[in-house]
Amino acid sequence: MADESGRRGCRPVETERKYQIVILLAALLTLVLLINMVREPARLGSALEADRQQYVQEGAALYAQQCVQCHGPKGEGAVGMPLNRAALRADEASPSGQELYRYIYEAIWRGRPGVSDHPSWVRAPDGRWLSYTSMAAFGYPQGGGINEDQARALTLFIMSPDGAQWSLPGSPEVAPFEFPTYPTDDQGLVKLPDPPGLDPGVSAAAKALLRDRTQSQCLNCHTVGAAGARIGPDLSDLGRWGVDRAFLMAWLQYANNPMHGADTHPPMPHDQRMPVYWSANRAVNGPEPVWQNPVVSEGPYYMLRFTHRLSEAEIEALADYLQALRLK
Amino acid sequence: MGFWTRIRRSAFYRSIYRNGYPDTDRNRALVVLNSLALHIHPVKVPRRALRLSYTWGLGGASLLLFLVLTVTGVWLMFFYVPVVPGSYESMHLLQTGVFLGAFVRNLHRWAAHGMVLTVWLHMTRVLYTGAYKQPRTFNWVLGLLLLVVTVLLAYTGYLLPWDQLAYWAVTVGTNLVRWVPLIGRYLQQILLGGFALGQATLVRWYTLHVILLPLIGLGLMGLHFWRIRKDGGISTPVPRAEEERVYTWPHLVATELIMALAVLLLLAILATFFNAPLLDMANPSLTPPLVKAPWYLVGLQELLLHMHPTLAGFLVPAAVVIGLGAIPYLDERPEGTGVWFGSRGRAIAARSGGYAAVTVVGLTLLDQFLTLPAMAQGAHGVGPVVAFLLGRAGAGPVLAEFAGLTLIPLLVMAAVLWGGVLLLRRLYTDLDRRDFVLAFYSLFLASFLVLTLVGAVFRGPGMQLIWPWR
Repeated sequence: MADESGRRGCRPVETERKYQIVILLAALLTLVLLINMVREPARLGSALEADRQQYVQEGAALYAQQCVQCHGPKGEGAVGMPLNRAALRADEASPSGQELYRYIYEAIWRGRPGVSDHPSWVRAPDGRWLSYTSMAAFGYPQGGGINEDQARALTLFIMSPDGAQWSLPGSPEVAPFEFPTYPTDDQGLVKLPDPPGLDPGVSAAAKALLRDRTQSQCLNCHTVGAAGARIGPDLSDLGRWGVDRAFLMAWLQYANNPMHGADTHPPMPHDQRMPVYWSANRAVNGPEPVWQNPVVSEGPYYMLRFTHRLSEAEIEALADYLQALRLK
Repeated sequence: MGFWTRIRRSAFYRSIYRNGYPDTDRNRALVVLNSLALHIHPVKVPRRALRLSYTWGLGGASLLLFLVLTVTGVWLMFFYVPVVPGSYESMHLLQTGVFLGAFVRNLHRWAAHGMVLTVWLHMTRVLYTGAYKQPRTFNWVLGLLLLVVTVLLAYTGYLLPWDQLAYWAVTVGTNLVRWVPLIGRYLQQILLGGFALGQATLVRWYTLHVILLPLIGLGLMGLHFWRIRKDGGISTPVPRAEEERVYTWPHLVATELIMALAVLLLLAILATFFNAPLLDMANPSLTPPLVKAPWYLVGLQELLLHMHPTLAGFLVPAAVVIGLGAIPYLDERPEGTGVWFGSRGRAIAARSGGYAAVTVVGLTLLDQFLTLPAMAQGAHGVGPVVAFLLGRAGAGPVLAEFAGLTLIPLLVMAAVLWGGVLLLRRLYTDLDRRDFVLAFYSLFLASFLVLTLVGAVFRGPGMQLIWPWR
């Protein structure tokens, strides 16, 4: 470009060089913008799935902290309903998935009512046990400890379509369970309550069994009083649950596989197992338990069988001790 | 007749551009006069003003970043909703479902940090080149107000993602407002729209961020640019009549284009390689172990550790803003305008800056390690020690706290200032007002930088001093 004011202003060469720099910079800027636009579809293609995966992992960690106690380490259900069912898994974006998302999210956020006439578990006419316990509200406006995004993470965790999410709780990298605590008294013994009205001999035998964690294993997963872990239900109030002694003993003996040696007793069927045989009709907060439409866990459950570890007398002592617990 | 010539001769083209291509002196004058964007400049500018090392293009860079922020900000508004929890969800949507969503958000974020930086550097440039002197005194005040508006814009934007970073950084800031004398509580409630951060806060800060503060900024910018022309254009050390002047087109325009493209390129590269942070969603029941304000307020947060909140959060910042605003009225004489530092200014600035840096580091360490064996475990600092001793001597708790947290820090700050003055007086016998302005600004700058560095890098959980590399 001609520069006629060259004598007084910048020399022509100088202006010429400025324009060269302008062109170079403009080209570089265009290049950077183009690179961003070209790689954007690829980024977007995986971003949504990566984001969902991150939510599932975060949900698994939250589940391991806050939900296992009632819903079971693998979502098999314990005091609360089983969550590892195919009916609860769906793509969040599909129409039925959106409805399901709202249902699960709201249940987490606001909790679910129990049936007031049946604060404990009830026995259905066919002999099975139903849990009609209420669920606490976990949203922070209701006094819970989680926010909207964490409720979303939990919902997406439960809904994750492939079902593989249920192997995550308990894995040390993603969602470790809380470490058990065993506070001891001045004699160095793990602190355990003495239920009133229970024969002292039975109580002492049961407490010795509970303290021997390599044999009985109870306190590795359950809490009794102040001692134990929070992987399975807290047993401190088992006396109020309403289950009978025969059922409790059968549960302790044959809850699950594996069978050992002469022990050929089959595990308890899914729809007769310890805690839950939920009614899907509970969505309609009926005043009375509804016996139809059982909601039963899909997969195996976590409770071990103890026939080969504990004698019949020991099981009896444990059942008596647990049924006498009314700590809450 | 070539294609371009035909277009240039068409009635439509000539209805837009009345003058020919600026390759003659006449057309170079006309191109500036006839253009809405360019006529912010005079037709001719002083030749010396073209040197990049004089202005570093910082004012222009600030304006450019404001424009970038406006464009990207409007684009973000298409996706953002100012509700809880929708705001945070829209952040996720931006990252996962919007074409160039993450990139544009990155641009907005880095441009916001960049604008705080360039506005602040621009002010520093104007101070050290004496460009605030007569007749530009009031424009310095306008510039100072623009700095305040810029920081407020950046800080209100900080809340909008509604993640843990946003929630707690803003909690720290709004807790500070409570300590403004007399009206603090009301001010805090107005800013929060209640007693704690929530939906009401988000809407208020969103409104401030996208409408009120940008409008105030635009108004002040218009005044600021208009005043530049009215105050005689860019500052130079030579009287207007003797100045060698060159045409704005192409000399200034080309330089500005280079600066603008360089800034945009840097911004685009930053936005490509560095993602704006998005932490977990805000959780009122989960306080993170370490809450830090954004970098431009970390210095203030650091100051809070050493004195009463009213002093650190209100009196000191107010004194700094008023002091900065008063500078051109303390040093009005036009001598020294348009030259970096002047004859001995560089030495004065370096010496007072170095003195302040050493003193502030020393005071920070003293506050960390001064303690008495009789004091409670973990208690340390000059103020608490004085308060403890006064309490021992029988003073009431109110008096002891006032002395320890307000009186002693005030005396220490006054002593640091006075020590700087004494030191300068020893080194130079003929100090004038310009020298004092340079010294005070350098002192402020160095203290601010040291406080920011200590607060940003050397503070760990519980705001304890740490080595960041351990």
